Amino acid sequence: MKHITYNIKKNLTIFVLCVTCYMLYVTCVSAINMQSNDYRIQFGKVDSGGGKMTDPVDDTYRLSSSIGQEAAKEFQSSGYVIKAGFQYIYSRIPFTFYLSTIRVDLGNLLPNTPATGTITLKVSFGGAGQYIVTARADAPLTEIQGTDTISFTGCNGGVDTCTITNAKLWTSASAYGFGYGMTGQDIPADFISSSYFRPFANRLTSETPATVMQSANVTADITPTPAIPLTAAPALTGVPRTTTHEAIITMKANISGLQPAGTYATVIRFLATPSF
Amino acid sequence: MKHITYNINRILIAFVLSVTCYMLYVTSVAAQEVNLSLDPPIVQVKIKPGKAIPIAYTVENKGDPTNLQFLIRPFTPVGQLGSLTVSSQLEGPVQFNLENTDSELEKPFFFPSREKRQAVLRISIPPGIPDGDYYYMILGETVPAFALAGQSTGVASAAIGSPLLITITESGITEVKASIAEFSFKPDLTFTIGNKTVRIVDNIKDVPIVCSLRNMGNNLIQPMGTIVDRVGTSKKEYPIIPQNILSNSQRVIKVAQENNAQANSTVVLAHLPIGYHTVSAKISFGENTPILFKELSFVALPIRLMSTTGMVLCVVLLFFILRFFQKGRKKGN
Repeated sequence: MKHITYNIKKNLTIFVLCVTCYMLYVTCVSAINMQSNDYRIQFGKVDSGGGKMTDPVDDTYRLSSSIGQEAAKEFQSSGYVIKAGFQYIYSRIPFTFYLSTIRVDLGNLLPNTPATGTITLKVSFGGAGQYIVTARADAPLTEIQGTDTISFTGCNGGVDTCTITNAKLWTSASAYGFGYGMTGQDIPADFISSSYFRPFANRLTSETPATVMQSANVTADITPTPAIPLTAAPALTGVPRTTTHEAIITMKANISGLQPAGTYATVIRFLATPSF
Repeated sequence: MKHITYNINRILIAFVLSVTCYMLYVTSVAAQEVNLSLDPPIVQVKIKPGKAIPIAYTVENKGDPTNLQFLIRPFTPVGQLGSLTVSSQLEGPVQFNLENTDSELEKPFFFPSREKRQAVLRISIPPGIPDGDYYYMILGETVPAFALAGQSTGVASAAIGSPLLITITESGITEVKASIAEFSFKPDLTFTIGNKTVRIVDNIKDVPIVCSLRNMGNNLIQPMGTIVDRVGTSKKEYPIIPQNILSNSQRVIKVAQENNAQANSTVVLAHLPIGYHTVSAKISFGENTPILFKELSFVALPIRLMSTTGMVLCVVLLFFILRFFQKGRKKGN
């Protein structure tokens, strides 16, 4: 009897140990989950991709969504192929756009007394090269409770007549209007100094937004690995470039004594896009 | 009585001090800043007509709370340096909608600071759409907020975009129809011997080479290959970055090269060895596609060194000639 009890105890111990070992043995399963409060998408292709691509700098990694899929076969079976991100460069720096303020107060405008205000623009990008920032005004500065407007500037006029793509000197106190100047990085070459201004492109007249910042070099200074989608992120070489570029836009308004009194406003729309 | 006056004085001093402190205590008010990021920065889709797919974008607000809306707009390439222009209206046959339950396209929502939000964009391709490429931009745009406070104001709205390149094809086969539109550089000197033009560059100067590809097909293409600089028996290879060249457009291609800050050049040749250089471009667009080839040549010479040495020699020669004539005059006298 004692022997049987001992055997049962022994078997039970072995069974419990086996179950415990089985429970503790957990295989590692990888997947990318994209989720929000109300939505969740799971990309289940990671384990078929042939390993993760590691970044030698900080051991983080980034995968393109098409890893592990043979493009032609995938297209025939599912009817689509998706490639997210630049396939030839892997970066941990997302495309980011910054404005220091959303309001430029020009104060109480006085005749023949130019008023100015500034916004700092910053673009960060670790992706593949070029970005562009454009600007366009919804309309000229317009009296908020009326229809009077402060039209866009022509700068000093004469040989110094500026256009939406060509900045010119605007120093005369008797040259009226509303416009902007640029200083800093990646600005158009026609902004020779802080005295050079342009009128804003006007959405009301369907003018094309004007480029105010543009660069092909807001990216880590790396040598990308072209056309090999399964290659690990390339090592950083050379002198690192800054991945954030900054410029200042100065908005300026100058009115004549004939300008009706009032509070004037308009919306300036900035659009930052990475290249294709 | 004296005691009461003393108390009133004390209370009055305390009150004045309190009011002064209150007046001096000014909380700092920061301007409302916008700081948005959008990921992935580009999405490329190859899809059959009649199919629909979701694509997830993540937008992050690192700035102040704002009202944001998602928009889809078509874009077209401009120039040959990768610039683009975004249309102000949604056009085209591709249908888009957000699958999120709490937001819709073109409908603003409150976006608190330090928050991330996923936008699940559903792309539907109606059946019967002709094969070809359709280029769109997904935009996260802040809604302008007017709080004028009696001052004339420029109100800024910020939008951040991510290109969405859609190739619609029934068969999965895409069109590759390209040519090298330009393969050139600017020489320092050019002269002709017989019917041969010799181009010379200063070997201590950087030589930017421009290689521009024209895509005449209806689908985007990605160039692969190398630019090779040969001089004597040595050669230097530069692998081409497979950037997208959109349908019916032209683009200056780029090579993987450190410190090429020139946006409008393909490769910058620096520290050139003296001699006869042959620079070639060999470009393909994947398996079973045509190979494009173009070549140019120049002679790298130490022009600056030669001209400086020449000038020094001239000065020395002039000096000796003058001395010779001076001696001749003295003898004559």
